[in-house]
Amino acid sequence: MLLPQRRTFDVLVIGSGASGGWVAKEVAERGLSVLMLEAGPPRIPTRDFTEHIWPYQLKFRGFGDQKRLLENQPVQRLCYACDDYSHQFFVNDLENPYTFPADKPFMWIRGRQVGGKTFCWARESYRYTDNEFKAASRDGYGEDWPISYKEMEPYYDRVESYIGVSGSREGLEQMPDGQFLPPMKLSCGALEAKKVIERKFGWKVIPDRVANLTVAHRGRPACHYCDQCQRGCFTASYFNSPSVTLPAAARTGKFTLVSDAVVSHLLMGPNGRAEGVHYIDRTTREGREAYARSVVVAAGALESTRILLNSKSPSYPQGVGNSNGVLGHYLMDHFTIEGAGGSMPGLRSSQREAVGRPCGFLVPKYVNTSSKRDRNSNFVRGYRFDGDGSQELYGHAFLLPEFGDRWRERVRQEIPYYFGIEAQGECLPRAENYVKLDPDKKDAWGIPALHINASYGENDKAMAKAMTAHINAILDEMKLADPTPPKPELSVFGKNIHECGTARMGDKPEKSVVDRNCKVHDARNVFVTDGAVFVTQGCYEPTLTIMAISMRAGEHIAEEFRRGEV
Amino acid sequence: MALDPFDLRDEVTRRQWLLRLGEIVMLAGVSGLIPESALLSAQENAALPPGLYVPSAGDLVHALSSGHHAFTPPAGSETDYAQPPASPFQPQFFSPEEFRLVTRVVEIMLGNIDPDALAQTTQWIDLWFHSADGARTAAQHLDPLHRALAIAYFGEATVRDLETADPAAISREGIPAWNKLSLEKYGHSFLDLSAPQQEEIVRSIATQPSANSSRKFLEAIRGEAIRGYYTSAQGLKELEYKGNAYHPSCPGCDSGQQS
Repeated sequence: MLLPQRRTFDVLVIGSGASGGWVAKEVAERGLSVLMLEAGPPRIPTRDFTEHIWPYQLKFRGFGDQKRLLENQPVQRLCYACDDYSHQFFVNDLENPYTFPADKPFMWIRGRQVGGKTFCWARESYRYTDNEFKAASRDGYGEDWPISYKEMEPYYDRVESYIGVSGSREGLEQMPDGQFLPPMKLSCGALEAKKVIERKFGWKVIPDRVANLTVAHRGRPACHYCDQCQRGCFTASYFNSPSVTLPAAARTGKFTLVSDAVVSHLLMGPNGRAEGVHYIDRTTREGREAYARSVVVAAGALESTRILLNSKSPSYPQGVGNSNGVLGHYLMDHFTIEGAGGSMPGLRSSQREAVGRPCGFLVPKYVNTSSKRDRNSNFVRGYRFDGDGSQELYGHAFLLPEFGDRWRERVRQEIPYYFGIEAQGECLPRAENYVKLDPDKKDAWGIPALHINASYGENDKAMAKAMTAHINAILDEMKLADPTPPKPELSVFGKNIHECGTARMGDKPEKSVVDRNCKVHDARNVFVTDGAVFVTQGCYEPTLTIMAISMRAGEHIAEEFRRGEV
Repeated sequence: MALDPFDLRDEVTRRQWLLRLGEIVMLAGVSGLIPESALLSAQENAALPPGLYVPSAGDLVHALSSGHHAFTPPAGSETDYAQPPASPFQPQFFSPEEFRLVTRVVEIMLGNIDPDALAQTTQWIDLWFHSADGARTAAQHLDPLHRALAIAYFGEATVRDLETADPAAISREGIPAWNKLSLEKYGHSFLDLSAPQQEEIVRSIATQPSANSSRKFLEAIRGEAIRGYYTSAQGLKELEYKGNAYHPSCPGCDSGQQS
């Protein structure tokens, strides 16, 4: 789509995912004109969704074309969701390179399309509390967020009410209840874990809180439990921006979406104001400009920081938002301790269970919360567990000896039940975990690639030891058959796709990049609203908080317009 | 009390949804009731910018029924859908005689299965052998940083396995070894043996050391036969697989206390 010559929009939003969708909706519904630029193409459900496709309908039967994945998506293929059915929702790594020191591997999973990664996110939606927002005041490490749970609570309420989050009400101080739709059921394996863990450790075991609808909600039907969310959803029964926030913005008549628009840098005018952006047409490689009174960078934490770093000009020699050198630093991603599990002989069966529940169980964070019972002074912050139990489909066939009709009958009748559990820990924000522009490498559109330098610190490693010990204790109590202990190493940095930080929020301009309203300290009309602004990330998934922050920022931007400050 | 416009819309569309789905489900032959709310029209979709969408009952039912009927891949899709094989099927990797041997081995392994499932399974095995060379070459040419990342993710042994996997060599050495064993034991190549003799050869090879070329070939065929068969419609039906379906309520445990 070509824009009219020199039209100046009220707000220009870069990125159409969880964050950009919310900002666009909020400002458009308040009467502002919005231009959204998205680097990737639109996804057409009837063409691009593979919901309910069977393995026998695919050339590689669900196992994927390994040659193509290795050649075109050598990074993305490592993501569990980038498979034969869903690889189209992930970038081509050759077109979208990045670098890292060879001894500090970083796994950067990216989805560039209208909707960003919201097509294939895991939908887990947990509130942060002052355990996260004010963590520094509690344990002395790092910086507090400039905002509190009390300030964020109404935004969490509104986001949950709008998108639909299923969950159980538990009354936990460290993980507050929200505006929930009815919870999903637990599996039999999870119920067994609930009995054991609640009795032995005194920790609650609850269904995941997920942005899947358990009842019809605001014009969207309930989930039909096919458990193929990462393939797209024809009924829009989980939150993704193309079916929830972006249509709301579009229905205002104030919203213009330009896809295939790869933003290179901000166009900075005099007096510290952005006039718009320079972007490159993804398909023709032509350079173009778009103009607005206010610019919101919501391209995903690392993409947003990359755009700011690349926005160099005489007034901003180190990039926009980087007058203090903080931009790019304090990168975080959750680390996980994985691979633990075993069989549950008591649940072995000859009866096949229905499958399709798009969630498992969660054990909230207990270690180093306000309770004295689970304090561990070997590290600050804490972790949570998640897992599930399920029947094998045919994995046991590889282990059963013999062959022929009798063997197939055993495969059908002797269905093992497997239980798995992992722990996810809070990664501390450290200045030495940073991103910068690579001096040599450029992407397919000539934009400098990122160089990412990140590794886990001593606190993270100490926490991982405690996580491992707890998982082993749970495995022992569960009395699993053939238990597999967790892998000794922490997950690869970036693997959990919760990358946050690099443009952190703060009241002190010398220590942060954006203020409490997500406005860049050193530019008058530039906002960053995605995970880049996180100061800490707790041990819970960041997307719900990203949405709440984005809604709040959108409201603030609209208020600035109303007051004539833009 | 004020009416919530969204609740009202849900009630209105619930009726539309039921009516529409009832019709389409019957036409499509999909079993199960789909009693959910919210159906917005195709016109509303058309009014949105490309890439935005509203819930669609028609698209859901079309997808639910696609596994039961001839399926035409959507134009422009990036998904690698299966194409109908040429008739008669021409193997890409195996020679016609080798392919007959593979087919016979799969018959022995899987027993009495549907001919279509057998054909799908053997064609999958041929494709897997055929594509392995390209995958290995791609693995050997990974960018050093991508290789370092893969090692961090999978471990070095797994990455090396990918770089050295050579099913062609396994086949090249394995098939002659099968025939040699058949000749030694019964005086004929494998395909010329009687069914009980062939089964005896397979049993005998299954007990050989794992480094033996006959055994390696057997294990390669067995692994891909399992993956090929249990991803076929007949294999999934035999497993009584109850996923990839429309469930009107959340599957879960009915024999315990949920909260």
